[in-house]
Amino acid sequence: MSGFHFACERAEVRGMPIFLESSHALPVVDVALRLTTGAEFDPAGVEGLARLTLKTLRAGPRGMSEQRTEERLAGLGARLHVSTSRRSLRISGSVLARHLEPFFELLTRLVRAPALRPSDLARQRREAHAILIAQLDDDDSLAARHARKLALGAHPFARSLIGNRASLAKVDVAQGRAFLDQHLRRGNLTFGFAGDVTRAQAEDLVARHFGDLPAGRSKRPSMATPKQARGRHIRIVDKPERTQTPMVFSTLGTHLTDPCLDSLIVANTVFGGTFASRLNGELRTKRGFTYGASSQLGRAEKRELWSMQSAPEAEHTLACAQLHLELMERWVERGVRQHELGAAKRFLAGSYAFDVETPSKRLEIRLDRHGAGLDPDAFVHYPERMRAVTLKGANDALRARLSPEDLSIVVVAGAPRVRDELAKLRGVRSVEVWPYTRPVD
Amino acid sequence: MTDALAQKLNHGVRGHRRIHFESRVPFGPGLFLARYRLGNGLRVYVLPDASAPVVSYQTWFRVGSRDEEPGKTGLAHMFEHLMFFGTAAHPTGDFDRLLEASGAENNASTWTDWTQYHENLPKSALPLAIALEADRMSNLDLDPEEWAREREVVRNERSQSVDDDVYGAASEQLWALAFDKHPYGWPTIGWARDIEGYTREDCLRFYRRWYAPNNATLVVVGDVSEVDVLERVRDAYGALRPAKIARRPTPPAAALRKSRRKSLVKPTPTAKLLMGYRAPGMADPDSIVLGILRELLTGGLSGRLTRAMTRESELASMVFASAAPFRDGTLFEVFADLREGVTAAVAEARVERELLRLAHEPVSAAELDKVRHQAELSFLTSMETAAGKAEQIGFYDSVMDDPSAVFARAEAYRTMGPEDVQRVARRLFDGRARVVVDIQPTVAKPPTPRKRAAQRAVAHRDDAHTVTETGARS
Repeated sequence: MSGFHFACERAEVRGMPIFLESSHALPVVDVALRLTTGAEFDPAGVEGLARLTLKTLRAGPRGMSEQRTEERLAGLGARLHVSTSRRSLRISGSVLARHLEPFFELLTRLVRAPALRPSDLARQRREAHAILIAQLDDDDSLAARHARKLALGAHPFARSLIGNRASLAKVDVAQGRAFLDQHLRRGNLTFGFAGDVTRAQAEDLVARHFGDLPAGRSKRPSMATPKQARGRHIRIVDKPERTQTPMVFSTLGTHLTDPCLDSLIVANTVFGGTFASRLNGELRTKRGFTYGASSQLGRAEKRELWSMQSAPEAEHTLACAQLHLELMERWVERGVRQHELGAAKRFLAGSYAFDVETPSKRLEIRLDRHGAGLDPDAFVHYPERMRAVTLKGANDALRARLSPEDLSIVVVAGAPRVRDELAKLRGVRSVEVWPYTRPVD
Repeated sequence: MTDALAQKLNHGVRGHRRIHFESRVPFGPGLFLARYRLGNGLRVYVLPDASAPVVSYQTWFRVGSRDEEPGKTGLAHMFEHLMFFGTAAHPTGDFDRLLEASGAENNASTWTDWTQYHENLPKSALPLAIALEADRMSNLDLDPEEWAREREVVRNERSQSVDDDVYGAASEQLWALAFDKHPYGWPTIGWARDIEGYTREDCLRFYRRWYAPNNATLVVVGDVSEVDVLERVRDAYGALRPAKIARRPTPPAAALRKSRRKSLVKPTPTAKLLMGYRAPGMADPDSIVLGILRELLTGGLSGRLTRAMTRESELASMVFASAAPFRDGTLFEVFADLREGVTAAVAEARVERELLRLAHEPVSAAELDKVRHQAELSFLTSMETAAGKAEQIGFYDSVMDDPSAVFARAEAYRTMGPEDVQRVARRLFDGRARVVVDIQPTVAKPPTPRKRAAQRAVAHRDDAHTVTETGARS
C-alpha cells in the first residue's frame, strides 16, 4: 500500500502469537487479549454462558471488589472492555503508556484469577435482562435482530450471544469456572499491542504473566452451512406509533474464502455501499423516501447474510419495499456497469487508507484476520485485490450467490397498518406478525 | 518561515487572493499549526502530519441553529443537506460521486454554533476536494424539485432521530423547557411544523447570508505540503467575495427560577428520566470543570452515578451525564434508562443525592487524580487521527476563536483542585432549579385474561395522552 510505513511485527511466546504495532507518536498503548473460544461453546439451552462468564470475570480478580477494580483501572488512566462474539472472547483496553506494567498486571489477574463471585454473576444476569428489555427501544437493532432470526432460523449464526431469560437462569459460577478452565490454554490465546510499546516489552509482559499457562487448544464445534428458506417471507414486528418503517431484506451471501468474495464486495459497493450508490440514490436522493439506505455483505467461515435496509416514512412503506425488490432484482439480473465498477474499485482501494490509518486500527484488523484463520498481514493487499475485480467477475458472482427470490423481510411497524399491503409484494409466501415485546430468541 | 511563505505566494497577487500569515503554534508532539487568512476573510489552518498518507479537509461555517429565527428553526441543518446539491460546474450528485471515486469519505454536521463539512482523503485527492468545496461555497444551485425532495429527507431524519426515538424525543423537550425562547431551546434539526413550512427562498436567503469566505474556516491536516495547500486554496477561493455578516446579538437566556417538568408517554418497556441543570458556556472558565463533573459521575464503571444507579441500587440499566459544548451556555444533563418497575421519582431523588454530594463534599485527591488520568487518555486518543486533530482545530476556532484552547483546557484539567470542582457543583446543583422530563411506558407486561378487560381502558387512555403530547410538540 503506497505511502504507508507500517510497523507490523509478529512475535510468539511459547506458542502464543503477539501482534505488535509500535508507534511513539502518542504516549498511549492499546492492549488486546483474545481467547479463540466464544459463544459457540455455549451448550444448547445455556445461551449467554460465555458472555456472562466474561462479564463476571471483568467484575474483579480474587481479593479485589468490583469497585476497587474499577477505581484501580481508572486511576491508571486505563479503559478496559470485554466483548463476546461467536468465535472469541476479547479483553481489550487503552492505557497511558507510563502505566502499562500495572495495567497488564491487573489484566492478568482478571483473566487468571477471576473472583467469579455469585453475587457479581447474579447482578450481571439482571443487567443482561435489562439489556434485553432496553433493546426493544431501538427500532433499527430490533429489525436487525429479527432479520437474522427469520433468515437463519436455528443456525448457530442466529444464536443469541446474550441469551434469554430461561438460558441465563441456568448459568452459574461453576459453569463459568469450568468454561475458563477448559479454554484458558496457550493454544487459544492471542495478544495484541499497539502504540507506545516495544516488541521487547510486549514479549516480556506476555512471557512473565501468561508463559506458564497449560498448553492445548480447544477443538471448535463443527457447523453446517446455513440454509435459506425458498421464497419471500415477511415478519412484521408490531410496534405502535411508528412514523417510520425500518425494513431489512436478507438473503444468504458469501463466506470468507469464497473465490467470489472480492467481486461481491465491489458489486455491493455499487449497489448500497456508499452515499452515491444505486440504493441511496433511488430511495433517498431521487424520491426522498428515507434518510438513508444501504446494503451490507456479511462475511464468516460459512455463508453469511447479505442485507439491505432503509427506514421510509410510514406512508411510503409499500412503495419503498417494492422499490427495494425491483432494484435488487435488476442489480442481480443485469449486473453493474463498467463505470460504476470503476468508481467502486477506486473508492474501496483509496478509502482503505482510513481503515489502516492508525496503529490501533491496523492491530484490530490483524487480530480479526488471525481469528478468522486468514493471513493477518495480507490486509496490505486489499487495495490491489479490489483493483483486480473485473466486470464479468462481479456480475457472475452476483448471479451465483444472491437470490432476489429468496428473501427474509422484516419491518418494524404497526401491523394493522401495513400487513395487507405488504402481503401484496410479489413472491411473498408468508406474513407473520410478532409483537415487539415478545422476545426474539 | 510561514510569513516568508506568505510573502512569496503574494508576489504579484492583489486583493482577496492575498494570503496573510497570522500565527504558528505547536500542536502536539512534533507538529506545528499555521494560521493564515485570505484577503476575502477566509481563515486557513494547515497542520502537516506525515504519519499516514491521508488528509482531513474540513470547512467550518460560523453559523448554526442559534442563528435561526422562530418559525424557521432547523434551516442551518436543512442547508447542510442542500450543500450536496449541484452547481453550474458540477451537477447534483457529482460531489459525492467524484469524491467517492477518488477514495474519499465525506459528510457534514450541524449544531447550535457551527456547521461543519469534512472530507477524509487519500492525499492525491486533495486538489479535487479544494475545487469542489470552493465551488459550492458560492455557486450552489437549488433546483426546486430536488429541494422539495430534500425537505422530505430532512423530515425523515427528524422522524428517525426524534419522533420514533424515545431519547431523542425526551431530549428535545428537556432543552425546550430549559431554554424556552433562547435559540438553544429549539432543536437543531428544527420543529416539525417549521420544516414543513420552509420555502426555497428561505434557503437561498440563508445561503447568501451565511455562506461566505469571511464566515468560514478551512482546516487541512495530514500528509500535505503547506505551500501546496496555500497555493491551491488561494487559487480556488481567492475569487470569492466576502459577505456582510450581520449577526444578531443573542439575548442571554432568561434565568431558570423554578424547576420545570414534563411527562411523556411512549411505547417503551421501561421508564426513562432526563434531568438538566443550566451550566456555563465555553467562554466561561468554569465550563472546563463540567468535563470533570461528567467524568466523576459517569466516566466508566467507577463513576459515582454509574455505580449508584446501575450497581448499588440497580435503579437504572444505564446512566450517563453530558454537557454539550456550546458558546452561550449549556445544560448539564443526566439521562437514566430505568429498570422495570422503577419510578422516575425514585430515580430522580437518587441522582440528586449524588449531585448534591459533589456540591457539599470535596472530592478526594485520589478521585480527582483518577479523573485527570481518564481525561488525559480521552484527550490523547482524540488526537490519534488526522480527522480527530482537524475536528479539534475547527471546533475550538469556531466556538472560542482559538484552536489551541484544546491544549489550554487539557492543561487546566491538570491544575484544578477539589475546591474548583465543589464550587462549580454548587453553582450548578445546590438549590438550583432544574428541568426534568420523564417518559412513562405505554407497554405493560402481557395481561392475564382476568385483568385484560380492565386494562383495555387504561391502554386507551394512555394512547390518547400520547397523541396529545405529540400534537403539542409538532
